[in-house]
Amino acid sequence: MAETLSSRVAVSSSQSYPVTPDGYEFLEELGHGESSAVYRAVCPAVNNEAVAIKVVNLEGLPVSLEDLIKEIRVMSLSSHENVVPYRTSFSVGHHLWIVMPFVAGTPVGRVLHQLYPEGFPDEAVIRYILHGTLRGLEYFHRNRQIHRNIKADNILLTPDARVLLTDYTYLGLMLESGISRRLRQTFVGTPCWMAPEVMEQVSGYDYKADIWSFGITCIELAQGCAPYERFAPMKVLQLTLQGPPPTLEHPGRFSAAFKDFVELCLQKDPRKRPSASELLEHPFMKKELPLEPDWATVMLSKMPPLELNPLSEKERISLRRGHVATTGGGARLSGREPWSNHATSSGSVNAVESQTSQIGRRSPEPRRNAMGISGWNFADTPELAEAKRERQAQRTATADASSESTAIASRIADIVGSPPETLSPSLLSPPRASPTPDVALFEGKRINGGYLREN
Amino acid sequence: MSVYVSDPSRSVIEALLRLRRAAEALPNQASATTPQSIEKHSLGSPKDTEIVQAENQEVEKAPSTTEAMKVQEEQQRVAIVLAALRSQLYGEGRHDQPSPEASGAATTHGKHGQTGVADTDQATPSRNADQQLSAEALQAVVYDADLLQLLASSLPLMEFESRKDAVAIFNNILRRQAENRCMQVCAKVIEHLLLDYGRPDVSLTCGMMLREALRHEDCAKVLFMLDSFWVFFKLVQMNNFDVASDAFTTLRVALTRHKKLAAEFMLEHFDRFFLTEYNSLLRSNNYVSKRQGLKLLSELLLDRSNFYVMIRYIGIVDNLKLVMTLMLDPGKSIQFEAFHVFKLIVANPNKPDDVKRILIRNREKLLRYLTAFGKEVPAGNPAFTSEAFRDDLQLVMNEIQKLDTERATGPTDSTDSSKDTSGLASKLEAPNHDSGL
Repeated sequence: MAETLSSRVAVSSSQSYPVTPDGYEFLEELGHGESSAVYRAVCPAVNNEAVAIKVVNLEGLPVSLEDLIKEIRVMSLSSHENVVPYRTSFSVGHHLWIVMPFVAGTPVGRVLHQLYPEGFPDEAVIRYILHGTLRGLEYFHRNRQIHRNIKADNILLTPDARVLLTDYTYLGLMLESGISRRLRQTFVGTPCWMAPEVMEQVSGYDYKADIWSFGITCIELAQGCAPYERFAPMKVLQLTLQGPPPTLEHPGRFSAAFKDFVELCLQKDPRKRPSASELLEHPFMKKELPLEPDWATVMLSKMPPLELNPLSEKERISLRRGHVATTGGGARLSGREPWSNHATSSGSVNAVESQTSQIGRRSPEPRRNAMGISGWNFADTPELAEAKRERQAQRTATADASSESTAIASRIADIVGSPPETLSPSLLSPPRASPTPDVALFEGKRINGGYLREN
Repeated sequence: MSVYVSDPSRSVIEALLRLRRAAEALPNQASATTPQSIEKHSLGSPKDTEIVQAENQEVEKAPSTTEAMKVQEEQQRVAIVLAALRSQLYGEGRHDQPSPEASGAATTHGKHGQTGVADTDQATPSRNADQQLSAEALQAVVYDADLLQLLASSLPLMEFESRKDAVAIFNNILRRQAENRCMQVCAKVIEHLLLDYGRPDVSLTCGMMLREALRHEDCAKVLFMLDSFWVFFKLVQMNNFDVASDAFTTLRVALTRHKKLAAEFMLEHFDRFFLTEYNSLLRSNNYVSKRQGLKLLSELLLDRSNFYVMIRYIGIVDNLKLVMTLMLDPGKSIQFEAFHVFKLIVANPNKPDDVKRILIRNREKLLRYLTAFGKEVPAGNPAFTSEAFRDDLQLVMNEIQKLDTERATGPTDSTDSSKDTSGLASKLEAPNHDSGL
């Protein structure tokens, strides 16, 4: 009794979670990507808590180890009911195991695509999701962090109607070593949701960039997609920078409070946009709209179920051993000629991948779907993948018209009207090994083939 | 209740002391900050971690005894004064009145203070006289050594969110001290931070404080003099990734921030630092520490200010053996990082004889390996395709090729190498005894 009490006082949750795979009982595979897999498991040491364990191959990662460490640090310093939680992480061989409480969440973006391509019909649902998002955002801002990638795809909804923000890949710190950094100058995010000042790259940006993205997300929830989602990335930049702020297409469908709320968020002058805390005080947020009981359960039950792959007994055991038998990074390659000119690494490094692909039930995801480790990327459903491909094709077609390899930087500069030198060319340079730079630049979720380094 | 406090550091200190007293009153101190805490966690075994109350949320709820209730009360008091002091130091505070009724909930859910609002105004801070610390009060805060020490040593007792406030305050005070060129950070503060570094719940906050302290040369000096410094090598090998990676970041800062100081330290403790601690880190089974360790090692060796350290390091034959072993690691990234150390040893114009002998004996295999190494470029890794890497590789191969063979015909000390524990390194020598001839 006494022990429990004193531990209650000072011992935080992460302390009691095992940091070796054999501390967990693996149940099934939730998703599988090129360099990571997600499993559902329980942790016997902590009241059989259900956890999701993401196993990331550190050898095949498109991000640097430093970026990954940064992301983990953000996760472990965040604890809020509207933010995807985190428990612990540990490395086994060259794999990093990240333990999070299991959240049966579905990205709101996916719900929109599947069920409401024209947007949520009920304003109460919109308000509810936005409210949770805003609370998570307020938490990040309070911790001097900018999320930088707010959109429906990064908001999870659970059957018990919890709303959680995910994906901290781009999260930027406004506070480093005790001084406040005034403004960030990194060009990250997803174009359709990106605030004009982030695109401009001239004077930098701050928390208010998230408020713009939040405003775009409001429209996304109301209409099913972001305002310029059907346009090519270049066009999106142009429209956002030159045109008036986007508004709701069918204002008649929505209340005056909601329209006002969206308008406040989507002001081109970041100083005029309210902060997350101020938005929470807005009449649209203040007044709770009536919702059906169990609305989220009902809504999510209409979603095609996630494809779960049950694990065989053999797989479970090998997981509990942390794959050490096949891929332990520290394992010596016994019996191999020391300086043989065979690929000493690649063979064994990808053993997990090849092993699983032999079983033949997972198709590797294309790299553009690679997300930050905090992203909740269970394997995409085939329908969504199809929809994405279509949109992709459309984009490529539109972009092809102007796909000569002129520097993107100078083109943006034309739009913005500032000399190219003010743009950091390295940030806008085409991604590595990309055949059509200016298309790939904005492909999918990531810019620059994935991960822009900060300065 | 007013935010304005005439002596803000006193109120924080008092609150912290009360919290400590309350925590001490608890029976069976699991939270005591003892050195064992590091030992215990560094073992990383799940068996010895007690099955304790896990849910963060539940920590806040359902206190069953008066002692525990008292501690929670004090935690909340600390949370409020810390948040208040933080926003005062950072010149914020529009919405910063922690209302008394909110105090009950001013905990993990980030309710206390909506200071995020004020951040956004930092570009044009609205100077509100009431909210600013008076110059005197600020001085008192900045030079309050007790405050720093209490902040550093009470982290495990604080609530999750309060710890971040504590870091912000600590760092801000150090900044201001440095501006006034009057650093007052005693060894105890650094020691406290190192002591708790191994606790997963507070390691990141300890790390942030330590790194801020290490910006200042005085603090770095203190750190290098402490015996606890060596705990870093334990920390970076911990199973818990949070702790290990953060400790590595801090170690890097310590060794690269004040280069002259660090170079002196490394030279002075060369044997313990490199041959004992660092090399056993590189021999460990922990992939992440190995990879990061190699990267930092090549950075350190390549730094001009560490010239004498490098000369000494690359002349030691055991280091060559270790690095060659690491070049056979299954991890491509490890091989790559190991190559960056290997190239220095090979490029050394004054290679000792034993180093030369090993290189000559393994010449054919090394050349084969390096040729393959350059060819199998992993997709998407620019490190392998860079011009500099190609040049280095070519240079290393040329150097190995032109090693004069006569040297190798000299007497060999095969006894020494056959005893080599790594096994692989001895393999490199033994079977190829006559390959150089």
